[in-house]
Amino acid sequence: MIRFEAMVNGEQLIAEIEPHEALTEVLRRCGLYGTKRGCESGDCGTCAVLVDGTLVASCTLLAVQANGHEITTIEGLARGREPSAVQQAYIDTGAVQCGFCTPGMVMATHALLSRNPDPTEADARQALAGHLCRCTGYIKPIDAVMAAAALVRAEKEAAGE
Amino acid sequence: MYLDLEDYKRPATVEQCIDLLGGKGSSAIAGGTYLNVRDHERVARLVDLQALPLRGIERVGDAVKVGALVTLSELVDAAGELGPGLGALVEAARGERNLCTRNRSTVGGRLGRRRGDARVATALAALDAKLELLAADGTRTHVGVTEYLTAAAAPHLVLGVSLRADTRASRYASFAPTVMESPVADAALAIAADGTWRLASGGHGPHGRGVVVLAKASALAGDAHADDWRARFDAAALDELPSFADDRGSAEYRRDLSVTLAARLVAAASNGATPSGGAR
Repeated sequence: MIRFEAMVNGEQLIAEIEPHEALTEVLRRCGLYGTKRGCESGDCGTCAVLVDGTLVASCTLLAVQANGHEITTIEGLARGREPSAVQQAYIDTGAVQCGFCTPGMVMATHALLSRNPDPTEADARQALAGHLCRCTGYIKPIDAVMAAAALVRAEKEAAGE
Repeated sequence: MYLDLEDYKRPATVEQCIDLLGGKGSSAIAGGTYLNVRDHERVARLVDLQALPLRGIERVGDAVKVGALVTLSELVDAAGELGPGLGALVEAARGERNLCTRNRSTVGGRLGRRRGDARVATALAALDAKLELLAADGTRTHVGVTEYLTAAAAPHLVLGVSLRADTRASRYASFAPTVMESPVADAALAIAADGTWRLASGGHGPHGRGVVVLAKASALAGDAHADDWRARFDAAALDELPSFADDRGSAEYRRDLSVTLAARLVAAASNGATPSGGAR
């Protein structure tokens, strides 16, 4: 067993892990069920989390590789019990159907807007490429990215940033 | 899944790393996008490279050095710094699967698996890149890409790649049925400072022999405006291409696709068209 210590959603997470365990498994074992287990080969995007601010597939990353790093999961985006602007945009645009792909898409949207607060629709499509959805047909998630960008910009303007 | 994995190490120096890699069942891991999905069943010890000082892209004299741990996303982000001369490398990195993969997959990792379907390997072969290797006995050597890909496996560490900074232009094109697949075939073209053209073709098998430099076709590339050029070019390229078939394409299809991609790159470069990633 290996001692796993990382900042997860701003709090220290300590766990005993096996070296072969994927980060997805460890996060879920620690109660962070928002990160979904999908293809387990990095193809579907539903397990996406941020490691040191970079979007990664947690199914193809061993937890030991993430040891000592800063991890953000879908649970870390909400502000208390209030959804983040990105999460709210997904709700407002009806971009959530079964919800299985949604955490990965929300994390991808968050990562995009962190780097590019004013994305084009092409940027949005590029950001969601590799996040598979069998329900929405991708139209509403693209709308959600654009709506999220507008919401985030409005929040920043209101905050005087 | 990993069946035999018992040990995980994260060495801080390349010397410690190469010692650890000498043990039976040891395997290096960089981003993990390949090893954590396949070919890991009998790995007993993982040697994680993340703490090694092998990051960064820097200009050293007339060379651009790319550290083995530079990710494909970092290559894409460095497009302006690398310039049109090394554009083929940027386009090859940009074409690799999805952002999650590009954020983790490293240049050294893509080369270290010695596969013929790693897009950056084809681009680096055309760019006549030299790999810097550290052998188990501490010896550092520089080898060409195709030489490395086809060499007998021995414990070593890829430290980085060195490219000519004065490369005039380079381009990359590939075809895969979906963006998530490795290319059925790809091609890259580089034009050196002295005007020499160099073509490489990849996708001809999962092994290192799947990337080849098309020397005869390259020699004809600068003559693309001649009337019979395409026939001569096709004949030369076909003479050099391997025959590899799998469930995604027959050898005949793959060879024809490879020649078409290469000819398009030459035609575009001859016409001075804007470099493009071509088909995906």
